[in-house]
Amino acid sequence: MPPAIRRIRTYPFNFALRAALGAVLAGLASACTSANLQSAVALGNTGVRTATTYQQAISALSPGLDNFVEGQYMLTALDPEKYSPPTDSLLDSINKLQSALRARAALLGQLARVYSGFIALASYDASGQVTASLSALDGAIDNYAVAVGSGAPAISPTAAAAITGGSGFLATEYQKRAVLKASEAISARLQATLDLLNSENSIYAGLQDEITRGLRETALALWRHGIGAPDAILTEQIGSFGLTYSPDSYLRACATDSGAARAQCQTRFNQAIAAAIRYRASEIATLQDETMRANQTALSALLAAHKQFEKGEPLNLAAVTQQLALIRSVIDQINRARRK
Amino acid sequence: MAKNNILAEIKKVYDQLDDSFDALYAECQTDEQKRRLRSLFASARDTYFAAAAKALTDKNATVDALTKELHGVNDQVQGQLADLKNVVEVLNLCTEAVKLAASLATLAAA
Repeated sequence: MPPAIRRIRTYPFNFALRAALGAVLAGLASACTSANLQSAVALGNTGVRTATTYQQAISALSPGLDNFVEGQYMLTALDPEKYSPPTDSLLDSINKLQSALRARAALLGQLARVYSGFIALASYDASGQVTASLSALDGAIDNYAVAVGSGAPAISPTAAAAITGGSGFLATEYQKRAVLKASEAISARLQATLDLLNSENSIYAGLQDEITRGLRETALALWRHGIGAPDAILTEQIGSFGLTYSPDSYLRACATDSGAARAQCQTRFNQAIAAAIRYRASEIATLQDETMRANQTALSALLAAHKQFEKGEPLNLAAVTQQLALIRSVIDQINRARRK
Repeated sequence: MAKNNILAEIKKVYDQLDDSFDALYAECQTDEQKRRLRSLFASARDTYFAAAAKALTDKNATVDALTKELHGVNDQVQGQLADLKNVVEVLNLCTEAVKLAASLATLAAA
């Protein structure tokens, strides 16, 4: 017996099936949805990137806090007149901050997972699945016709196309409605997430600033105590016009002077290196602040894109992607400033 | 004053002490004054981080609730995908039944 017949015997076109079809058709009885599935996939992909980028920015604060604590220990040893070792109170605060930051990162990770599900829902080929199922059926019907000795086509191509097309249309409409409903559910939570992170953005920025200040002070203290080589800073300067920096040649700075002049020259040289470190720290602090604000703007623009999508308007993701590109560029600048 | 503004003021005190520490230290006349300045600086540091931690932990309940809600949305979206696949299955079955009925009618008439 052809598989199609066997299946229909297993699932007769009975009341239950009619009721199921009726429910589907009733759900689709009103006007067609304007949601565009391709736009939904684009929105979902942008949502994953936005949530992940923000998550990375918040996650990066935790190791920074560890560095800050380690720096306090070193500063206490190198500059004991100013610094004190981390107290229990400070360590407790750092633990609480890291725990709170992990919770925020988990929230954004969950948001990224929701968008992955949204993409799966929007990219499922519902219409294609119906059509694929029907193409298999055609062969079964032809076999049946041969078995009963009829040379006539079992079903006219026009009728087959109408049935297939109609079912495909219904499947697509159902999918569009599901995607629209999902977008609305995400939007509501996205607004709440945006409000929360917006209210905390100055706290993240403040922490970032303190981490950078702490790293700067530790680097300067180490440099003052003869630890560390400014090779990377000097390489950038000397390499601009074809000269090559020889490793450790900063140790021969002011070698052409002698006596007091040499000591003065070395003091000025050390001060110049310290100034370069301060400049880089300031540059990094500014860039980090810019990253946090760009993350906030990207999330805000993502919410606006949801509203466009839900109204059936053409989707404009440029505002989000511009911010994501800006963040990428700022991170590259920060990395350059660190390793320069 | 809003909580974030209070935190900003606490941070400002810490940063100002940090930035002007050397100048203030130079003005200290006694070891006791120097010790107090150092202690003040450490207290300002600890106060800032404690205030920042409190500002974030105060909203932990909101964060947890939102994370759970998003988890729920994820389940909902997965459910919608499962429903969609069910609908496609129902449509396939209905369509097969309709086509077969039509073909049987054709064959019966032949």
